[in-house]
Amino acid sequence: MKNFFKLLNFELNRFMKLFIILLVTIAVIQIIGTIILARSYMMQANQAVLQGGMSQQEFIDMYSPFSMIHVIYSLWFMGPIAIGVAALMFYVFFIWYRDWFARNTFIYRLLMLPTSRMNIFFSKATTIMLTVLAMVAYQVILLNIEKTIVKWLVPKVYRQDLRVVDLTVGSEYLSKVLPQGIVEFLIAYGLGLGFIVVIFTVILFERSYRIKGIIFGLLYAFIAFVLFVLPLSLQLFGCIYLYPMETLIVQIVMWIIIVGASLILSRYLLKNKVTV
Amino acid sequence: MRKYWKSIFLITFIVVVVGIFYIKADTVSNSFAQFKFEKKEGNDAAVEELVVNGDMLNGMFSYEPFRIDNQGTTYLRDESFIKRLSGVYPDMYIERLQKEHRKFMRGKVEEPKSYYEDENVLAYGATPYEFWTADNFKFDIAVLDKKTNDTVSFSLPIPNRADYWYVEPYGVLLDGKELSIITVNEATNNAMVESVSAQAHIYTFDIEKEQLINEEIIGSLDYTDDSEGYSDYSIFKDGDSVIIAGLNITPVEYDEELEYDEEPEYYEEVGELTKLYIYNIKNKDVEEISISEKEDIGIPISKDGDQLYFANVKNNQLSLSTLNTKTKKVTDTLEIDDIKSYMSIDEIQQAEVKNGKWYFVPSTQNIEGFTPIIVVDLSSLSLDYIGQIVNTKPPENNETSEIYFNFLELK
Repeated sequence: MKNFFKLLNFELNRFMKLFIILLVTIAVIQIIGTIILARSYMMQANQAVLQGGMSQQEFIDMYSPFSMIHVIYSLWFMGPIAIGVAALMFYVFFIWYRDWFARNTFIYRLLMLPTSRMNIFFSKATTIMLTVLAMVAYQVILLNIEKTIVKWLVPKVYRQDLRVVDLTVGSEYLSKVLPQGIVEFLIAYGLGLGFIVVIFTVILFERSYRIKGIIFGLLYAFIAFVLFVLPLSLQLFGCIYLYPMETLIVQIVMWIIIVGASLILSRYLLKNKVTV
Repeated sequence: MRKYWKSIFLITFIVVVVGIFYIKADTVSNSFAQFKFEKKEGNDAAVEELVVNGDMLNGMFSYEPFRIDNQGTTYLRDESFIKRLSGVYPDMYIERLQKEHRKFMRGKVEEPKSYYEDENVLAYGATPYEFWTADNFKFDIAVLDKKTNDTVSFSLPIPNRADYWYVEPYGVLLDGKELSIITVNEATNNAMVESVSAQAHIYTFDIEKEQLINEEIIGSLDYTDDSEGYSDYSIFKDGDSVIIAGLNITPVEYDEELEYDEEPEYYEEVGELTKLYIYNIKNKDVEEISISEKEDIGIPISKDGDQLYFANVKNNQLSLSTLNTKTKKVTDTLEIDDIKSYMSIDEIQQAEVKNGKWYFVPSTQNIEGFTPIIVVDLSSLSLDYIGQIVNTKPPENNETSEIYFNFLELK
């Protein structure tokens, strides 16, 4: 356990600089975007009311009051999130390949550590999960900051205040990141963890068998995907019918099988097949 | 410990922020509107079984389904995870059937009109839609003996399916070993002409032999597509009868002042009865009823012996009539004036009848306050309850929420 935490801390330290740069970039773009959107709305409102002779109510009826909805559906908001997602997706691969392709073949030292090689696997997976969750938590803080900025810049008469919870539940995209209840949250990020474990297994296949390993890995990922969507597909085509709770239980069992198989395979590959 | 501070900080940050977020999310409905039934006159017991389903929209964005009963309001977000799984409130009747007959209900269409139930039998008849074609080509039939738990289940192709644009089921009947499905079929042979040929069919199956033994047209529901409105059907069974009504529905043309002064997104529709048939389940006779006052009488809602009950809405007025099917005369009427609601004829079709009481809660938003609740005792054609849904917790800080009362159910 101690070795795992040492490795986890080590992996987090390696990613921390890049991660902080990512967080700052997201904050800067989103906050600038919020200011620009709020100010341009107010400029439009002032022009219509002060110069165009429109009443405040007529303007609101025509353009709807300003709210965080305007912000979260803009490129200013979605763009940085997309950058963050892309960066973390890239890092899922980079976290392994940097150990092989950096200046020193660091993987040699890692594999020689007097600890289970699965600790390396788990520390890398935990690093990815922690950074994903930290980014989600950070986005919650940012939403509150952006909401406050909107309150400063847009007078109450032109503004519709929505709770952060309303924004996350109502938004098609944010509801995927922050689902409605804690159980849904655990299911969503459990799925994410399963995805990372499968990708790591594919990477280890490639590292073990190189070109042939890519084929094995992709084949394995495909089988895992088919296995996971099988209960849903069979229901969609009318072959079986499960009640919603039964579907959930079957999906959880599938998840356990896929994650379990991935861990066993990864352990085997790390122990016996991975080459430096 | 000190050298792990980054990991500890990151984990603490996640747990605290996500934890606070979900604690807040858990109590968010405390700030939502809370509705209750408010009686104007009548008997409180009349609404004991009433449940009104609705949705709340915050700025056209956050969607919150809710249910109101005589205890108050419950939001779906506050229900258990299992209940939230499908994202909407399940139909209460189907939910009960699934709970009581879990095995039998597996894979069955979740549509109350696909079921017939008495104390001994639960019967099912549907025309399920296929995934690939998005069309229906077969009858699915199943009968459960509640006493022995024996099940008969089979599927048969819909005969001459290519002759119809659609075959839409409207109800299931069971008479001994014969199960019947009532459908409305629209013929394909007149696609390019204005006159549309539609008929109410009854398909009867022998559930022992698992065969279709009879197909009969029990009412012609032809209509002319004049582009001013649209046609609709109201088909329901009551005792030994099936009532089949063809309707012509047209939007009300408001004068300009009302249309723009009030809320222009709402409009009313009125319905005119074009055809009316009564099918006797026992002797399999069809009788066409012609009514001289059919333009004002509205649409049929229930039948009790020779008494056929109708309801109509016009100019914020709801009227109910009793028609004697033997004499073809209207014997009794009840008019409820000054209902402050935009009402359309289709809302009458959403009303429910149980134990001789007619429950009516118009679904559209009304002019002042919230939607009215009307319960009428049909046998005496008198008001049992009149009231409205009120919001006991108006929004703070001029928050705008759109409230929709969609449909009612009876416990």
